[in-house]
Amino acid sequence: MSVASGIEGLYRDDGPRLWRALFAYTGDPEVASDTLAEVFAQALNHGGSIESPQRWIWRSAFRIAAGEMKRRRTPVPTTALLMGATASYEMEEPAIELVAALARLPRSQRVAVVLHHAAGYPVGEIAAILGTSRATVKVHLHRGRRRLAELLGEDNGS
Amino acid sequence: MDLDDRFDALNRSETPDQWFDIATRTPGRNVPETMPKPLRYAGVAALSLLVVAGIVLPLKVLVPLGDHDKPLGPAGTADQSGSPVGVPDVGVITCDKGTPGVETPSVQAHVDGVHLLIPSDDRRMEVRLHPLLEIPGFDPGSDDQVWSEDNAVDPNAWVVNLPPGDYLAICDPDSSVTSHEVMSGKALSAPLTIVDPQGFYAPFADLACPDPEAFYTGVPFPELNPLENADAVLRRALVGIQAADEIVRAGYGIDSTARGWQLLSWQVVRGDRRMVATVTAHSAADETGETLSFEYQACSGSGIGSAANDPGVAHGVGNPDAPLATPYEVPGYTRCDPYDGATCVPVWVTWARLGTLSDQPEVQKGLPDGSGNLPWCPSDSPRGCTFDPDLQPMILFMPAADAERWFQAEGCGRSYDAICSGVSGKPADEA
Repeated sequence: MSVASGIEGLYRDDGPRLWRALFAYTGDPEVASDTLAEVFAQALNHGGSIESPQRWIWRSAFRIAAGEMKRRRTPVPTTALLMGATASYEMEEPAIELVAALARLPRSQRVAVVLHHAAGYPVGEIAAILGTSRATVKVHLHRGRRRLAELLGEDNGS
Repeated sequence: MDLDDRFDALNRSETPDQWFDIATRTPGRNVPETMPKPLRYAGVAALSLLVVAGIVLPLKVLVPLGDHDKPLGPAGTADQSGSPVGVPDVGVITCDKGTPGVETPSVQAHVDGVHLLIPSDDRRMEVRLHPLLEIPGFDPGSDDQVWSEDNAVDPNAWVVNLPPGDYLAICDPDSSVTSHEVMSGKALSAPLTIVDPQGFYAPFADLACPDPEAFYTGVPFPELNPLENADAVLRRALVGIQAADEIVRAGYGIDSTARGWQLLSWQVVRGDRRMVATVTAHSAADETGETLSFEYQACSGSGIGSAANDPGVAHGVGNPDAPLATPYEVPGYTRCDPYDGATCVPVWVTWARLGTLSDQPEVQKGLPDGSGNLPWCPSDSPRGCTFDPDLQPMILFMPAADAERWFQAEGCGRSYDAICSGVSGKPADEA
């Protein structure tokens, strides 16, 4: 299998999930789309030098997204603003409210919550992606869920 | 509805197909422009890529430099301020066939951070530095990684905000090495010590609370008074800072280049010396202009970031209820709150022009004295404070009717190209 076809397959399998995670992380569909394109383009341009493309893509995507958020004016991702930004997407209101609440979490909590709940990664894999310990990820997840529940006024389910 | 239901809703959301965009970013790799199984395409995201970044104003924001306003010395030499002889100020990390090494066991910090060089290698590598000890307030992963081929030529290309201390450098071809593998010795690493003999680095302290809230806000660059120091800008931009709070810089200081603001971090200290908030400032630009953005974390109960109308959204563009108005007023014309969006019209003037119209003290302080220096310039300033107020563009925000009256009366100000100068009211380049 060629490098390009391998990355294509990864895009097909992980692309939508990664886009949703990036949208949840950044609160900006344009940043999510731009980041998704950039990270897969970089993966293709690296040829065969990446030994674990999936992990590399997920880790690099969040770094690229963080850089994009720095470069662009940071919008205040209220529910109302997100409604407008996602008007051309099929997105349910509870999901938009969730993304607005996620934006109020510290970055470390937000990325842990997004990788776990939006991307479906287990704690150990999140620790590997972020280059941190499982215990740290668990703390961020616990605090992030608790804060999210407070912001949304509901049971966090844990 | 609980959180899991909301995440389920998120995971049902439609996503755009970016494959065409990916193909256009990989010329020469024969990547097909369509996927065998195309996803639904929303279109908006791809179209957004056609949006071109707009004007970026060359505004210079002056902040107190203090001890950080020192020239950068040449590598490996002593300077006149007491740097140790023999400790280079550019660190060199090598990745020979993936094996990390350092040509400089120690490196001394610059005013803007630590400058590192990675000589070119046949293989593209991600190079990271792992601190041997936990560093209070420091967020690993935020600025400790670079790709080798991006940093092979210019030693200024990789400037990291790493505090002084001991680190392990690793070469990681696919970003798969975890910090645990580094610290346990399972991954190859090379020790590097960062020293800071001139005290450029101001340490972070941990927040007094374990579970802070995150907030964002921003100030458009045209509204920044170039004479305001960082303390004043932060007090104007952040909601809830008390008059007695102390704003203390953290991390490395500003350098003399335009990227200075991107390097700044701050901490808010209460009277009992508790750290109640941390702030990171950076510039951000999009098609509508450039903004000084703040990302901050604050302890619950500190009052910081808790705007009455919407906790968590202090104020900013797109939030018309927020009470931050442009600071400049001109007699005879109504000031307009720029956060009221479409009702405000920008009127472009130079600082010199503004100085002839406004008697606000902060405006007058921005006009040079007979020597050409700004009046507040310290007598021992090594560079002086020369300033040409006719090269400093500003924006006055006005309601549409007032702006139109201005344009008719002054014959200028509709755009940057037609900016009102301080001499005749004509565009600066014609005056």
